[in-house]
Amino acid sequence: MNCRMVKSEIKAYIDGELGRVMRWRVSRHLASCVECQMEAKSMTDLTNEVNNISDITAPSGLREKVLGKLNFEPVVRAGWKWPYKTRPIAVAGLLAIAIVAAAVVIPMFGPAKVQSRKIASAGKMQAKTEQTAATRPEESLKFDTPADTISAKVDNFIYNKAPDHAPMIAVGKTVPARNAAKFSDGHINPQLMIIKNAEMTVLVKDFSKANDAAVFVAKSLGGFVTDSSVSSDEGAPVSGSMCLQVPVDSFENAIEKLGKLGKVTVKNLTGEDVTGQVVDIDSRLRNKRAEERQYLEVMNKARRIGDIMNVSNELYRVRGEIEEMAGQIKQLKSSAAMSTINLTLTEKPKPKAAPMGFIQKSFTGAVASLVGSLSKIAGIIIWLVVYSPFWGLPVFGYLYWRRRTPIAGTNEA
Amino acid sequence: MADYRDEKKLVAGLRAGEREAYERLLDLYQDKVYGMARRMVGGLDAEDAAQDALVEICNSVKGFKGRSSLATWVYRVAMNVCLERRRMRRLETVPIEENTLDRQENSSSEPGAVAVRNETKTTVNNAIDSLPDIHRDVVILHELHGLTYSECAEALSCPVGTVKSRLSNAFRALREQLREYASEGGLEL
Repeated sequence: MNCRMVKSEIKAYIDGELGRVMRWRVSRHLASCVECQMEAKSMTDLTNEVNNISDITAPSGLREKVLGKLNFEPVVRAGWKWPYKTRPIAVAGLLAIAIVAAAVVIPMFGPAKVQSRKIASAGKMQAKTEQTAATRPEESLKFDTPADTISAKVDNFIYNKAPDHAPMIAVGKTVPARNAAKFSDGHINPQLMIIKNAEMTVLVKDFSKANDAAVFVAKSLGGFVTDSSVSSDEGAPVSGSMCLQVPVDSFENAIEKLGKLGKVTVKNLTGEDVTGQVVDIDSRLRNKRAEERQYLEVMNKARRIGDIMNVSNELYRVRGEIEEMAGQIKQLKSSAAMSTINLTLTEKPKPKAAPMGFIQKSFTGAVASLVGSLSKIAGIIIWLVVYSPFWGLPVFGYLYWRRRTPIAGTNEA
Repeated sequence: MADYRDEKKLVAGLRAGEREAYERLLDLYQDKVYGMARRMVGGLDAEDAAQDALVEICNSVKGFKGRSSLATWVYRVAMNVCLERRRMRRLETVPIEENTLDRQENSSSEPGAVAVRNETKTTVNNAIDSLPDIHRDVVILHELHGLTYSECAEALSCPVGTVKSRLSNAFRALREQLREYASEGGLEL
């Protein structure tokens, strides 16, 4: 990152409005660039000056003027009313007609006929339901009991190839509910704060199918895919890598499922215990917050500009540190809550075709030669047609002249 | 009387047309809206603009759907009213009068310090007022009213990246303007 880029981001950096990555890049540059440090200092001072401008107080009476212009009508919730204006005689007439019609129609069909019609319509509805289920096979992938059914469904997806655009969303919504009780408040028991990572390389028969299955595995276990790349150079087998994030409870399950995609050639599992780190940062964070409160108290008592500026600078520094520590804890907790699996899928190279025999090679060569010759002839014809104005006019002119000019000796004959 | 310190209850009270809720809304935002009008429209017209903005806010608050915070929505409505008024009147903003600042610094016990502080604030105020409209608006919203970049973007109906670049350019311009004052010892830049 060069100085020009940093200077364009420095105001947002001071305001704490940069993303984590950009913030890190800017701070890394600032650590080594004196010029940009000066720029940051200058911008910070100016920001503090602008922030020190007092708020303006509204003139007295503005509130009353505004209130005087408003019309306060309490919202009256009216009870339910018949929405149409109807006359009692018309209503009575309609009721009478309905009763007469019912008295005429019901005896015509009778209870038995009505019953048989009900059965027939029920049969049609059942048939229709079955047809609908048959035309929507993906519904069969919805999970009823996550623990047992997921495994069966994932296996089914991997080995039998689920239809394209399988309902990943439905799966993703259903399964994480299993883990919601643990992670909904964002807090994890420090005793269990272990960051688990894995690196796997799997040799697969069909890259596309395996790729879909890996995504399905991640989503079905309540995870997601963060990065994905595919390389398909001509002549080389297709390969791709992806970064899967899965809940830490499902880590081993995910490794097992991904191992079924093909032949595992590389498998590295690592774990890092960050419990102590989190506890340490947490205690330092509490101290910093206490320090911030003390500075705020001093700030309230300060009267001199120099004092205010000094306390303001210290507050800015302490808040920066608090933000940084809170970010570190958040990062560690999120890392511990979700495991990372870097998965590389490589398609097995397809066997090369058997070498051709002499006759087959000769025949193929002759056909290729014929096609080449014909295409060249066709090309020449096209050229001749396109250039016909240049050669056609003289040739046809000559032929016409030959026809009109009498051949020598004809008249004497 | 309902407790309107909670924003959800306040919004519910406003939707129900309760007078206490509107009074609370005005208590919360009248200074801020007036401050914005003062800086955007100018001293002479500021009170009228603020009054129009507050009336507009009160009349249309029933349509507030809670997609953003109430503060962001209030600033957006006030900003629109001020922009419209500025466009109609073609007025340039005027610097804030000295008496506004004097009134706010009476509590200080050191006259010399008050004078220095007032002078600095007036200089910074004048520098902000001399910025182009698009830069001044974003400085007012972010620095003086404390909106985040995304809230500013929502209030100004522009992308967050635009807010970022405008603010960066505005501060560079401010620094250039205040450099001379800083060299005289008024500021450390």
